[in-house]
Amino acid sequence: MTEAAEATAGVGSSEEPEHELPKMTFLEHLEELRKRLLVSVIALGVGFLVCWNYADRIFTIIEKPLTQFLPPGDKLVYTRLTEPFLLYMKVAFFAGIFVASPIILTQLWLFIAPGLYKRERRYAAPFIIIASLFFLAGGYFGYRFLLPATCGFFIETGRQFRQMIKVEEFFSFASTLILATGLVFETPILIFFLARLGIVTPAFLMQKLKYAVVLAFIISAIITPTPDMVTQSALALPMIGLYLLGIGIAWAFGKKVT
Amino acid sequence: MSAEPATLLLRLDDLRKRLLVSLIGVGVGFLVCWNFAPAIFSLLERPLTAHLAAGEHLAYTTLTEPFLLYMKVAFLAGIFVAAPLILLQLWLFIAPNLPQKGRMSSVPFIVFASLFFLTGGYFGYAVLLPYTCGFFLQTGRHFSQMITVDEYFSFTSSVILAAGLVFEMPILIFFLARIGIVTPAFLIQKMKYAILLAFIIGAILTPPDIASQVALAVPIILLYVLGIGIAWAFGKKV
Repeated sequence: MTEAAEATAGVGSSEEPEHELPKMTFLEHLEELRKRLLVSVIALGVGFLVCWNYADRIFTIIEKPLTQFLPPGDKLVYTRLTEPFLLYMKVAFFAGIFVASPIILTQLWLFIAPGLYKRERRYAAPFIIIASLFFLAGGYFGYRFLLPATCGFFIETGRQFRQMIKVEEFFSFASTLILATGLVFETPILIFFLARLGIVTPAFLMQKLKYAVVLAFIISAIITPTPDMVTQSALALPMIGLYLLGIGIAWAFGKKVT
Repeated sequence: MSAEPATLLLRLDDLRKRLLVSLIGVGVGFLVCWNFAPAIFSLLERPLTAHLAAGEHLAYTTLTEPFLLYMKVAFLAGIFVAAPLILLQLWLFIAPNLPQKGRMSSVPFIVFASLFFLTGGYFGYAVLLPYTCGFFLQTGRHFSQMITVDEYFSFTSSVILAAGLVFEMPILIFFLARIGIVTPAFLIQKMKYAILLAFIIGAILTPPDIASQVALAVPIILLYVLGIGIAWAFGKKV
């Protein structure tokens, strides 16, 4: 966090008058983007290496929502010799994204920040903390509630057959669900930016609430692979709640019409 | 065959004939091996099953999988059986391009190319496979092993074929030296790149631990050194 604060201070202290945007050419922006991407990739690489040693333990946690429905002694299977190894690579990468997410979000902010006024840059630290928290909360929500519900549903559907779920298939199923809910939980952050830029207003958001509700149900129907209403609602209701939170945010922080 | 440069069309016609003979050779090899396919596959699966508990088998998940497996096994074994014929065709295709003076009998080429390929394949089977199988099974110890015959066969055959092809390197250097593309001095000068490349190939083709990487890289480097000797002995004299 101190790193982020310093970096923000660095951006703010460049010799430019108050209330004026720093002038950057298109090429400078590209150069900036290259630097930010490089830092993000390095952070991801370090996160990957850190998580590599814990990959098997991390996967034990990820598979728990499924294995709790299985008879004791029943394990996931693999059908290719290299499958467990590649699985652990993916797990380490996936966990690495979570570990590196504060740095990646910092880089994102630093790329956007020059386009904002100086006083707006004071939001750097809160933005990074809150965005990370929302993403983690979303991921946890997906893991804790959506995943067990969907696993239970599908295991129940397949009760007439022999369970032989491949580790690779289960991991891609679980990670899609967790990442998707994590991203969905970033809705308030998106609304915050749109409101800051004056693209949306609280009144506009209130007016479009009915479409948001429909959209929430459609998105959750797509993300949750189950055709049952319960799982769909379990994701759609938090999404609507997040949309309402977004309206509050837009009201509190939005660009004031003068 | 005369030494006068053949036209492109004639070369294409020659290539067509050589390919056809090679394909017929593989077809005959396939038919011969078809009856022995189960026996051949039980040899192939030994590096894996050696690590498994007694009574544990490989699995198949589609009805036609074992049948298609035996087809593939017979085909691969057919390639090995037909290898001398295929190499003879390759020789007949390449030989007219070699300088008249340096032309030699096809017999040493076929014998050595077959020998190197078989040595490489055996090296892959006897050294690399048990190593890699042990490593990957150990990695997957938290899960139930249910490796399908199809997946295992494609893994095994690619390791064996890759090792066989890598071991053909001295033959490749022989031809390049014969035509005058490489010289012993050039090969010695590029030695450091060859060593680096050997370790990179070793890293790609084997599990990511240093021991197995070295186990493949060292033979590659030795073959390269052998290639330098071959280039020195048989190369085009300047």
